[in-house]
Amino acid sequence: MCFATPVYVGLTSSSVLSDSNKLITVKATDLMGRPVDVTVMLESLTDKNGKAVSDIQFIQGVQNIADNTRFSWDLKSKALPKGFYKAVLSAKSTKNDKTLILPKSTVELKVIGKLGAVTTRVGVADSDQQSKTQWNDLNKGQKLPKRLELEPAQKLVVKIGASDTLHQVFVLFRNKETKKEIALIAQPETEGKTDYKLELDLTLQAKDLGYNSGLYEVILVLGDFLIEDSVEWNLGEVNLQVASGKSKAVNPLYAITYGMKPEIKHEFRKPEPRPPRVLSDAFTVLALVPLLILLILWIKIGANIKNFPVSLSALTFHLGLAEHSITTWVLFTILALFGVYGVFWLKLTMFEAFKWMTAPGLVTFISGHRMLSQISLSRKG
Amino acid sequence: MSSNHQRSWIQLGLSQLLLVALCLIFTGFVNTQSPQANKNTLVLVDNLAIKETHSTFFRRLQENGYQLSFKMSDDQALSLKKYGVWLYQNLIVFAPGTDELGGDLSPEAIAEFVDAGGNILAAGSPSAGDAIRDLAAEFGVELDDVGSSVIDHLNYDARSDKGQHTLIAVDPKNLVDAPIIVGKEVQAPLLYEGSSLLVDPENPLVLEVLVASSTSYSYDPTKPISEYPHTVGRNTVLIAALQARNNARVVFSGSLDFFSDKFFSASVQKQGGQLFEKSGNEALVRALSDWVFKENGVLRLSNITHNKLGETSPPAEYTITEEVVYRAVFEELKNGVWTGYVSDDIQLEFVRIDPFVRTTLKRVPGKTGLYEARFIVPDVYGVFQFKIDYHRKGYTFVNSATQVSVRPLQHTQYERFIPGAFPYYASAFSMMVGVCLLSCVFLHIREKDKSE
Repeated sequence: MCFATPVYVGLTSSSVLSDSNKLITVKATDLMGRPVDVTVMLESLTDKNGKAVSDIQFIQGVQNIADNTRFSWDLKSKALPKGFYKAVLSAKSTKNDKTLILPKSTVELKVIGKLGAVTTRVGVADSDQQSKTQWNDLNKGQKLPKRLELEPAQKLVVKIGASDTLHQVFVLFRNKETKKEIALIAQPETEGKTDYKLELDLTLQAKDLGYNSGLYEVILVLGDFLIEDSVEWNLGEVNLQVASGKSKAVNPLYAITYGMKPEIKHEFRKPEPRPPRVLSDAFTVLALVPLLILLILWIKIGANIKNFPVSLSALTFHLGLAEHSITTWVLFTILALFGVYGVFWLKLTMFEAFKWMTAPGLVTFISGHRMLSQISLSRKG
Repeated sequence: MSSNHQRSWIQLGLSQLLLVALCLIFTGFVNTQSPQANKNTLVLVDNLAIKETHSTFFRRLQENGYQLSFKMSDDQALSLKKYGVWLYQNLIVFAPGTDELGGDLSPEAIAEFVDAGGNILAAGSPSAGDAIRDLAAEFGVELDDVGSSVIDHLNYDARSDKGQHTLIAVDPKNLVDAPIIVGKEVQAPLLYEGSSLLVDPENPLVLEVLVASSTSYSYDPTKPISEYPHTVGRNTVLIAALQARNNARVVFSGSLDFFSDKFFSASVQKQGGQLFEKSGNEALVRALSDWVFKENGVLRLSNITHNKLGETSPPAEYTITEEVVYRAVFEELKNGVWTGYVSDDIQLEFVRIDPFVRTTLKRVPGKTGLYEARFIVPDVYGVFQFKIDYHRKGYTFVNSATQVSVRPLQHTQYERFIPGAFPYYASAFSMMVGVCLLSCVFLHIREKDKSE
């Protein structure tokens, strides 16, 4: 009694078949990876819609000489349109060994090809369709001969004529300054056909462009699962003058700015301009002149202080509390008050000056009052 | 604890004394290593095979001292918190297929976890369930619809792609410019197969860590494009990171496979491009997990002092136009130890509603981490703040505000004599002299006719 041995058939080559490489290689072994005596057959190849490829039916795989677990098929001669396929493989025992379990296995294959001829027409049209659209026809890889200038009332039209249906037909507008990219999608112009069209209205679609006018690079991206040379095609530059508007700004209270901020230096207020020193000095002299005039005039009319006590003893006598010494007290206290005033000006604060002034002020008040009453009495008398 | 030690101190013999000393040293050791203790991590998976398929990732975390608790994402006993205490500091959600997380793990509970400072690493997939979508939405990230993948016909991995061009090789140039998040070691392209993330432009906290190239888009590869894709070009975010205002960190990836052993060790080759033996995934994931679990880019600010130039203690108030010295210590957590942070871009602002002064802090030579700024207080009085708002990509937010008042000059602090006012002084003094002379003459005059 023999144990049953399941046979595993699996793809070892790439599942992608291109024009240059249409070789399928599979490996047939038992589950432990040991060789088994089988041959492998490619039973059928069906496309995505379930339609079998007519000239692929039960093709015997070519056994590799060096490694007899490998079988390969070269489908170079077969006409295979691009697409996804399912290949059904079956193994067959060469010696009709009944212990081998031989399930059919299905592998997915993809046939890719080159992107065929593509023509692109870039045109500038008026939004109101008044004038005729000016077209620039470009073949694959070509660039616009000169920069296109567009105004808000115009629209940019890009038409792409391809030979295959493409999954990705995007037109990228890359702002030359901010490097921001806006991708727009070209839609098939007619259902099921391979011509695509994109219109960018600079007034209606200004929001998509973030209301940013300026130089843009136009990049056409053509891509598909079945194309081996998907392309990023720089069509050239356009200068878009976009309708004005304001894009939604982020609340600065919640925004976070990374990186250093500009330094701020406080600008100090400038002091007010002052008059020149000469001017103030001249006016100081002018202010002192009346005193001088007073003295001169006094001397002229013969003013004197001959009643002033001259000797020191007389002075001390005068400082007594007798009636006749009052005038001297008044004079001294007035001098003292002005002295305090002068010192206040130089260094005291107002409150300190008040304190200093109390004593001479009080004496001046009392003695001055008595003196003045004396004078008025003597005048009456 | 310490009083216990002291009470028993005298009764202990020498050997016991030694033991106690050892205990003290040990407790001290644990305290200095406290950041190491924050490594309890809950790992949610939707199938236990993930533990094996992502073993390199998990092993590295365990080697770095993380305690990983693997739980099924729909486990009804799941809980992040017990008796008001958080059980985990970190959460890894590698359960893209889950529609609802089990137990107490509602999106609100997870948001609360982040509010409490917890970190999250989560990954989705093109077949992501509602749980991961809701979680993503909580942090300002939106996953594309089920079935949609990031497709790039120009930058797919030519060796391992299954034909849908969804296994894309992303250039390391597309990483965010923040070495603290993404590391400096990523050289090879990154392999990515998964869903695209749309980042909420109004959420200022989200960072786009990895974006796809200009030619990519997100769509269901089995259907023709009939409407504008979820994301196109560089808007296609593959990995997003968020640092909350409390410095909790969240990383989102649209691809769970990005973290898998298979992608770590896979070779990468773009169609017609250079062959890289090993993808950059492992290097990036290493940097990312260090960042998200706060091993990297953690800063703190301490010992803030300010005073007038030439003084040592802060004054009760500053007067306008005084020169002020502000000092602060900046430290960075490195391998669990706080070390001085070195940078020349820390700025100090002196703010009264608006900043009046913004100056760069300078390092004080010879003292690690100590920074200093000197400036003259503006001639505007009011209540001011010394403000540091240090926001750098990848680093924790460092915010500090110290309030001081600035008063105008006192009346005695103005200039006492102005030459321009000399005429006024002269007239005042000449008046005084005049009064003295006049009263003297008036009182002591000897009139001619009387004496005669």
